[in-house]
Amino acid sequence: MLKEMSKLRIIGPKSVLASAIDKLYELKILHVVEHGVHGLEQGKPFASAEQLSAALIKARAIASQLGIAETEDLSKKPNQRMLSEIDTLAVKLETLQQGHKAAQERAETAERQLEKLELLSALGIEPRQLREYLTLEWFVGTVETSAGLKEALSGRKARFLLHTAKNGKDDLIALFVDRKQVGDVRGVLAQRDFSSLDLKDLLGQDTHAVKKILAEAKAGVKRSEEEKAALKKSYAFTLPVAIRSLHEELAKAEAPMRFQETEQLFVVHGFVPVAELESTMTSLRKATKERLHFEVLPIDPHHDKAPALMSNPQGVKSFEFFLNLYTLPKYREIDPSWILFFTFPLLYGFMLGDVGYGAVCLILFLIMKKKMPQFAGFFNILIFSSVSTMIFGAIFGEYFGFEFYHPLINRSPEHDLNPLMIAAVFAGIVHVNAGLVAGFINELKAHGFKTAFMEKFGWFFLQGAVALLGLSYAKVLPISAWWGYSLLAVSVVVLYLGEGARGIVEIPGIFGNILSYLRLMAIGLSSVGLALVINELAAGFFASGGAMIAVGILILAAGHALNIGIGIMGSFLHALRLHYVEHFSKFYRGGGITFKPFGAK
Amino acid sequence: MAVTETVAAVANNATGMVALSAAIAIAASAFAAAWAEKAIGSAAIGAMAEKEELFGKGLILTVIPETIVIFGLVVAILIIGLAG
Repeated sequence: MLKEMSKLRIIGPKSVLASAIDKLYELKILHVVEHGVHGLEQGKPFASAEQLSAALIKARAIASQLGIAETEDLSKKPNQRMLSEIDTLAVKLETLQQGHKAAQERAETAERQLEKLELLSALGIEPRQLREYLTLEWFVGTVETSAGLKEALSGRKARFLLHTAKNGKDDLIALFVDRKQVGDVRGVLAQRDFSSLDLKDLLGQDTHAVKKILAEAKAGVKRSEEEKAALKKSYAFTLPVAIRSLHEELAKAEAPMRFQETEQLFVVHGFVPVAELESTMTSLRKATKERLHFEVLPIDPHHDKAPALMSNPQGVKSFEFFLNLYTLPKYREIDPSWILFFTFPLLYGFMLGDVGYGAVCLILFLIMKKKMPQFAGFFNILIFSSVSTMIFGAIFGEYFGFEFYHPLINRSPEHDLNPLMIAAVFAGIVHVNAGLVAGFINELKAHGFKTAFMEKFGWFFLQGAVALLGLSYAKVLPISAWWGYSLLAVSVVVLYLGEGARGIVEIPGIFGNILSYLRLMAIGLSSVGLALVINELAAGFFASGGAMIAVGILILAAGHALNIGIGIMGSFLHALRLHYVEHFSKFYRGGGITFKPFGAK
Repeated sequence: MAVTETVAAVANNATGMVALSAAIAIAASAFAAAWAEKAIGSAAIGAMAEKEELFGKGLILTVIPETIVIFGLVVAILIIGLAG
C-alpha cells in the first residue's frame, strides 16, 4: 500500500522561520517541493549559511588530514567549544603540516649531502679541499672509465693529481690540475663522458655537522607526526560530531532556498502522510507560538509530484525490494508489493519444486539471514520461496529427484507431461489476467470507468473469443464458431478504441505472454533431468560397492549442490522476469518519486 | 561416410526424424535467443556502468528474447506429441 499524502501549504512571518525550520528538521516528515506558487520569489538562505559551509569544509579537511572517519551517530550532542575551536585547530594543523614538511625537506637535503660526503671520503679527499685556488682547478665527478686516464693526461704533459674510486658501476674521479692546462684536460675528460658532481652545498660542511642536522630533522619529523597523532586522538570523537552538527545547521540555514518568500512572509509547500498531518501541524504551531497558517490543498494528479511512500506489513515489506530495483510505483498507483508477496514465491516454487531442495534452501537462507542481517529483506523473499518450493515439491512428489509416490502433477519424464503443461499455461492465464485486473483498477482510479473498460476489457474479450473458438472447433461446446468470431470482432474494435493501433499490434503479444509461462514447466524439467542424471550416476557407484560408495556419496553431494545453485538462480530470475515483463506490463507504470522528508538523510 | 550413414539410418527411422525435428526446433530457437541476448546484455551492462539504477530495466530488456526458446520448446513438444 502507498501512504495517502496531504499537500500542505505553510505560511508564516519570517520572524518564526528559524523555529519552524528547526521543528521541521526534527520532525522529518515534510517532503518539501519547490516553486509552489507561481510568481513568488525563491527564498534566500540565512546569513550564517556561508560561514557554516566554510566551517564545514574546513572541518572536513581537518578530519581527512587527521584520518578521522565521519559519523552518522545522532546520539551525541556537539560540543559548542569544539565548533569555535575549528578555526584554531585548522591553523594549528596547518603549522604542524608546514613544520613537518620543512623538517622532511631538511632531512632529505642532509641525506643527499651525506651521500656525497661518502663519495668524497671514498676518493680520499675532504670537502674543505674543494675551495677556490689561485693556480689550481679541480674536477670531481664520474667518467665512463678511469682506466688509462692517468696515461692520457701524462701524454698531454699535464701536471695533475688524480684520485679514483668505484661507486657501484660508476668510476669516480677527483682531478686537480694546473689552471693553465684546463683546456687540454677538459678535452681529455670530455672524451670519457665526464659528468661533474654538484658539490656547491658541501662547501664548509663536514660529515659530523651534517649527521647532526639529519638527526635533528628526523627528530622534528617524528615530533610533528606524534603531535598529529595526539591531535587525532583528542578530536577523534568531538570532530565527527561537530561535522555532523555543522552539516545539520547548514541544511537548516539553506532550507529557505527551497521555500518561497515575500518581504514579510515565507511560504512552504510539501507533502505529509495524511496520518501524520494533524500531529505535524500541532507541533509546528506549538514551536512557533501559533503564528503559522496551514492550508491543505487538493492533489492534482497530473501536475503535483506527490511522493510514493510504501507502507506494508513486515513480510510484504521485503518484496518492496523488487520495486526499488525496478521503479517505484507512482502516487495513487497500485503498490504491487502485495501481489509479489503472493505470486513470486508461487512461481519460484513451481519451477524449483522439490521437497529436499526446498529444505536445504530454507536452512541455508535462515543461516544467511542471521549472518547478514543487513540483507534480511532479500533473504526473507528467498525463505518464503523455499517454503513454497517444498509445497510444490510435495505436489510433484519430488525428494532430491526421487519419486516416492505417484505425484499429483507429474514432472518426471517417465510419465505424461500434459498436466504440467496445462498447469503452467493456467498459471499464466491467471497471472496475466490478474495484471489486467490491476491495470483496470489503476485506470479506473486515474481516468474513470470508460477509459479503464476500453483499455483492459478488450484483452478479456480477446481471450474469451479465442477460448470460445477453440472449444467450439474442438466440439467441447455445442455452439457455432460464429459466436467466437463475433466476440473476436468486438474485442478488436474495443482494443482499437482503447489503445489505438498499438492495441492491434499487440494482439499476438498477450498470447506470447501467456505461453511464456511454459518456462515454469521447462525450467522445472531441466532441474528434474539433472537431478535424475546425478542420482543414476551415483547409483552406479553404489552398486559397485566398497570404496566406490564414497565416490557415489561425493557425486550426490556435489551434483545436488550444483543443481540447487543453478535452480535458485534460474528460478529467481525467471520468476522475477515473469513479473517484470509479463505481469507488470499489464498495469504497472512506475516512475514514482521517493519520499524524502526534510531533515532525513 | 559415417555421418551420411547416420543420416540415412535416421531417415529410415520415423522416430529418429521426429526426435531430430524436435532437436532442431530447440537448437535453432536457443541459438536465436542467445544471439539476441548477447547484444542486449552487453548494451545493458554498458548502460549500467553509467547509471547503476538501470539494473532492473536492463534485466528486463535482456531477458525478453528468452521467450523465443520457450516457443521452441513448445514447438518441440508439439512435434513429439503430434508424431505420437
